[in-house]
Amino acid sequence: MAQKNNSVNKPAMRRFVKKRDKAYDSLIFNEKYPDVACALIDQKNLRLLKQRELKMKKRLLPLEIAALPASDKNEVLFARELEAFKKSQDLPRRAVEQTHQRKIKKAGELAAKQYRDGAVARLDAALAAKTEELRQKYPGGVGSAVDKDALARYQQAEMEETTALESFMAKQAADKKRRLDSINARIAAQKPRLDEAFNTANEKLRASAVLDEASFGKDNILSIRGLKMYFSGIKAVDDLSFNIKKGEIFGLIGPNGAGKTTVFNCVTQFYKPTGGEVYYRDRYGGVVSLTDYKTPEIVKVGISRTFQNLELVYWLSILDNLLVGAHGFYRANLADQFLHTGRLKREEEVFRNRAIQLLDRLGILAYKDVPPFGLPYGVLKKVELARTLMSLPRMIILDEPAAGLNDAETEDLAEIIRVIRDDFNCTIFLVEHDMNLVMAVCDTVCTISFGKMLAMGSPEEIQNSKVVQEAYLGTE
Amino acid sequence: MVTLKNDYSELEKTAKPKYAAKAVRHPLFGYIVLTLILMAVQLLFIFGDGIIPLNVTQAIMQTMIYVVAGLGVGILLMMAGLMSFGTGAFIGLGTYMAAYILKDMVAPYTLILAIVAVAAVLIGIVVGFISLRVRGMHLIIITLALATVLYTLYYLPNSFTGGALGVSRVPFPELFMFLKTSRDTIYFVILFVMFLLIVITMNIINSPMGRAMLSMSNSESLAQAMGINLLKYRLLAFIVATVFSMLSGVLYISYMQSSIYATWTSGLAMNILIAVILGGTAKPAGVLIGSFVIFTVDYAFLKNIEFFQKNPQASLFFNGIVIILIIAKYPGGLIRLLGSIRNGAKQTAAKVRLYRYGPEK
Repeated sequence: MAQKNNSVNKPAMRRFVKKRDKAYDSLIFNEKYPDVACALIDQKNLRLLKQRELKMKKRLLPLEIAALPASDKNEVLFARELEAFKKSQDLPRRAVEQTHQRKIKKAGELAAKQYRDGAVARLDAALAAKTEELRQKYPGGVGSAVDKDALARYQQAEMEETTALESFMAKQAADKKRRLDSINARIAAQKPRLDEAFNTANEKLRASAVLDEASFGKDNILSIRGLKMYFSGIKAVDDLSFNIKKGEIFGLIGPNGAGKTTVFNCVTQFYKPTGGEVYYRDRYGGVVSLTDYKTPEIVKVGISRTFQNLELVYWLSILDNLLVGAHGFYRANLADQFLHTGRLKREEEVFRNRAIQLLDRLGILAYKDVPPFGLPYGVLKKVELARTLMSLPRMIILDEPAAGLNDAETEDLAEIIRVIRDDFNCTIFLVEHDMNLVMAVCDTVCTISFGKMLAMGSPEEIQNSKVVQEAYLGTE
Repeated sequence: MVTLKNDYSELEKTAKPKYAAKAVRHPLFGYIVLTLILMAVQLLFIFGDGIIPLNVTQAIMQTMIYVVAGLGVGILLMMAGLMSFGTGAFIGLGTYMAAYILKDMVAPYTLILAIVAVAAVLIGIVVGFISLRVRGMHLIIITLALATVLYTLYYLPNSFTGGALGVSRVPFPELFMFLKTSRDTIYFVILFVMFLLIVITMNIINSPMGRAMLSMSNSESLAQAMGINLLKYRLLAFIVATVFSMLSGVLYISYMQSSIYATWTSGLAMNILIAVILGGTAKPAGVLIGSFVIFTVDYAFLKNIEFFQKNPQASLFFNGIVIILIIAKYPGGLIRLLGSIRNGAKQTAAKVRLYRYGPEK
């Protein structure tokens, strides 16, 4: 077995990691921004276009009525005004009905009926009077004579408005093209510089790789070798070794107190292992030793986790909770954030867009603006999953995802875990007590007891394994 | 029935775009309105010949000064979840620094604010690095100790703070080297600075940094798993609070013209903390309401009543009763009061509608 290359210059490495991450974030942002910007411009253009159309119709309506034949003209005006008057009587009529209902209880049916008849009669009389008045105002015209001037005016106005609308749309399209072009040009101008920065930093890091490719294994994404975690004499994890292949769903099971969560915490660096190594292939294709990283840096190499007990921020809306997941990917500096510059707004737009897409994909978009108070447990679990996906993970670590879910929700969860694996190209590493879920979704299952490995294999092999049965049920 | 060529049904459905409604929904709308009202109050005081009594504008000015410090405390306490009793001492430090500059040289006001802000950042970094290694009760004790140390330093005879006599007769500052301010016009400067800091506070709350602070105070393991560097954001919150406190000190000296050590006790820090907790949120609205209850009511109204003039301690008693009542009724802070007023109005309108017109078809 190849030994870890211990001659790595850590401060220098950290510097290069920072440079590479910065370049990578910018590249990712540049890739996503044009689509988001395009959607935003479209949205705004559509709104403005609608306003413009309304303005056009407002101008055309009186002109078109004036240009109608004499017999139709008055009929249209009469119908429109009468309709408006009837509409204005809607609320009073409803009020009468409501008062009628109240009067039945208070003053008896008879008085109520009297009141209603009187009120309705008054309203009807008003309507009749208005109709009569309108009849006087717009006597039925005779003949199909068309006012030539009015028609000409209408046609003139219609032509003007149509051309104006067309030119408005053309202007919008040109404006959109110009803005997108300038965005694309800026991105294209940045690309060589970012690529170079990324490649240089990456090359330096590759040169000081901790482990050579061959001994890590071509298909693996995570390799735990001789992991030890002692808590003042208690051996929570003792010399544990296993590999996780890229793209598989790996389940870690064991009786209570077997050290499953400790393994998780050693991978995500919440605990620094007493001994052993955790190797990982990061998103840039190189092999790194996770013990070289600090806890908050783990999410940047592409490992994202959920928690056994839900850890959501209850003062933020669901959408903002998801944005917390993208925290490490903002390039806006503190000054941008104090002053809310365009750069921060652009980035917020991109991440908000991604969050909405994710919520939509998991079917919980309806909850996006509410805080997590009082939402069903299944929904909150999905929010946590969506939040892990915000950080563009390559491996997701799920700590007892089925805890507290009912059977239907567990089935739903199994489906979502598969969706995440297939659609988002993630490897999934889960700890679970719910054997139904483990047996249903996992490709490989590893059983541990008292920090030592008992068995590893496909779900069927584990179910039939004698050692595992003994560990769970005890010996005879 | 004659049909028209174009479809005009949209024209009837869509009302005019409601610019007013849009403006009202803007997050800064309320603060702009408040600023304009406060401006009008002072204009009335200057030109209105006795409509507004002097002690009201004085009370507003003092409240605004403490609101500036309260905004920083709000971010520190309500967003980052850290409690500090050093606020009073930092306000004092701000006053002494500004007095030192104002007394000896002619400098534009913006420059003074900038110098004090930079100094505050440095002090915040140094003090934060020392004290933020610990949390909770231990942090409170450290800040309390710090406040006492600074208080004693102000009291010891030296030329910077003037010892037990304090500094006095500090000239009013000049804006841009030529615009001399007076006791009346400094009000507008204070108002402007407060509005600026309110905008910045809103920006902090609605940015990734604000969300990071909230998730950090909610759960440290969550924050770390999401890539949030705990020390960085704790330090940031501490620095913001220090800068706001010291700027509040600059405003204080430019209005009061004097500063004495006895003001900068941890009691003042406690008052500001109580104002923020009464407000119940880091949002400026909460800080404003809380400060109104704690400071304005005391300065503007109670000091007029003869009983409270004779027994100055009685106002503390009154304040205590008010605080107990408010906390008992609104444990989530007075900001809930705004929310419940809004909801109540909406519900009442809906009820009246239902009573008058019956359910919608």
